[in-house]
Amino acid sequence: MKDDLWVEKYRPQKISEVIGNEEAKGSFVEWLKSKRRRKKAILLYGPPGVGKTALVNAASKEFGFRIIEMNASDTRTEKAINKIAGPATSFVALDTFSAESKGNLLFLDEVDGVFGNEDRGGIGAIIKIIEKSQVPVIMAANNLELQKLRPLKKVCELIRFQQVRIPLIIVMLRRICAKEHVDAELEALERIAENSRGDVRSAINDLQSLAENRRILRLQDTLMLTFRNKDIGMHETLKGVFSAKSFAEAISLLNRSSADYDELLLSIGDNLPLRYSDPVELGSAYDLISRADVFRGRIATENWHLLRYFYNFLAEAVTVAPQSYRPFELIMPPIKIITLFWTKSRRITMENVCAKIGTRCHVSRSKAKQHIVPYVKAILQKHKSSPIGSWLKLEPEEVDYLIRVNKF
Amino acid sequence: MVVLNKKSFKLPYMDKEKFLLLLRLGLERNQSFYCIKSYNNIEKLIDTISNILNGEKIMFLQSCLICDKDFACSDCKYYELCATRDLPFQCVCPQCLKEKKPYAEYVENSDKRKAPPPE
Repeated sequence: MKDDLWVEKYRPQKISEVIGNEEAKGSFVEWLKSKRRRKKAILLYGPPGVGKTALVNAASKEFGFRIIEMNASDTRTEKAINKIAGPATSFVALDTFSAESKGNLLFLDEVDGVFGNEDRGGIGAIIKIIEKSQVPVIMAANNLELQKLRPLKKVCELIRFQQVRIPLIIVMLRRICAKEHVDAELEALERIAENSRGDVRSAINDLQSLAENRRILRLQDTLMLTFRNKDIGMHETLKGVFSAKSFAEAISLLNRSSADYDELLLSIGDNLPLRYSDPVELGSAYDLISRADVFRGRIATENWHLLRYFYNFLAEAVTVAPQSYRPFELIMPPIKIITLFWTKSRRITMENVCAKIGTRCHVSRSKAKQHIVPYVKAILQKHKSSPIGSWLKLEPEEVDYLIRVNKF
Repeated sequence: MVVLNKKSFKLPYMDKEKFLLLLRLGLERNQSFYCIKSYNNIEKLIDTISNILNGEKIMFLQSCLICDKDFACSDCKYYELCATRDLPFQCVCPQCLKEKKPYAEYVENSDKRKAPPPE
């Protein structure tokens, strides 16, 4: 049954058979070949069906690596990862010294799927494995923006895969048609390729469902294909809505967007001054943004029927003056999120100080921050070595921070 | 009009901040020419380059993976539907797409471009 699937039958056997993403392929092969890798692990990321797994399999075959693979179907708890990946990465295989084999290669597919209660501790275990590993560690993910993947990004080299272009998918489909003795009209293949949205796997599956046991494939045979409506990311959404020529275009993009609502609201707000140079237009746009914000508040976590009003106001805000659009550099991520990121350590220090004051004075942290911290600061500013510091058990760096800080 | 291609291209004088941003986004400078080294931040890279060129029209030249000829990305009939229009710089030209065995030629050319296996 497995071999009956064309995606399996025509799975690339060599690197050169993997279609598209030439630059990513080049960077990956260069990394795999290098003996002195800057980072021990590599993370291939991009939408599904663009050849990430196919490339790893083809490259390991071509270069003689033995793949130790863990994918989404395996439970990837800390224990399971250590059990399988630990021995595979900490010893050099004996056959490494033979001419045919280059040893083991650890491949963790769909790492963005490692989360939840079932895979508790999985990401932490992967990072430990990478640090100790004596063999190349390769990972693949669809969505790199996930919060939980941040620690992984720091220890890996990143290679981005993009949707495969339509002409390249057509080239692949034509090859399969020739092998399967199907006489396909170019228009039919074009429609399959366009419909796949850069996903080679789904294009091959569509071709098989339409052309298997047929001799001829015509355009009208492809009309039954349902349109694959893929979500669009934050950058694509922002770029699209700001260049939209009409309200309808903007609203259609917003409806397809997979961006987080709050982040979208903040990002559109941040970019408005770059979009509109006329103060009147900018004012009207911000007015609409404020209304959208009101509706976001009303939606909260349950009133989702109000979502259309939220989108309507956002779409109106970005199309106040569609004719005045000129390309500009988008501000991303939102300034608020960047600021929170940069002030994280300061906020943690303040939290610790407030917790210590709260414990000593039997008040809540917020009360300590509001009513006590300003006085402690004033005392410490006058006498840095005042006994109040040691009484509150403040560390020297916390005392320094309190003296320096201006806002509470 | 400014023509950007795979091998190298020129950009006008820019301030230090923009120059550093371009390098961070994956551009590489070789004497007075630039080329794209990393495609991880492709959207931001296009935005920044358009911003530096201040609205001047940009032509992205694609290099055909089969015949190696250059052709304009905007001339492609799939341009409007393409999710990766303009960049990266490699695709298949309309003439090669009509050829009888484009896949075999694509694989052959990919093999030629590829360096030898690791030692």
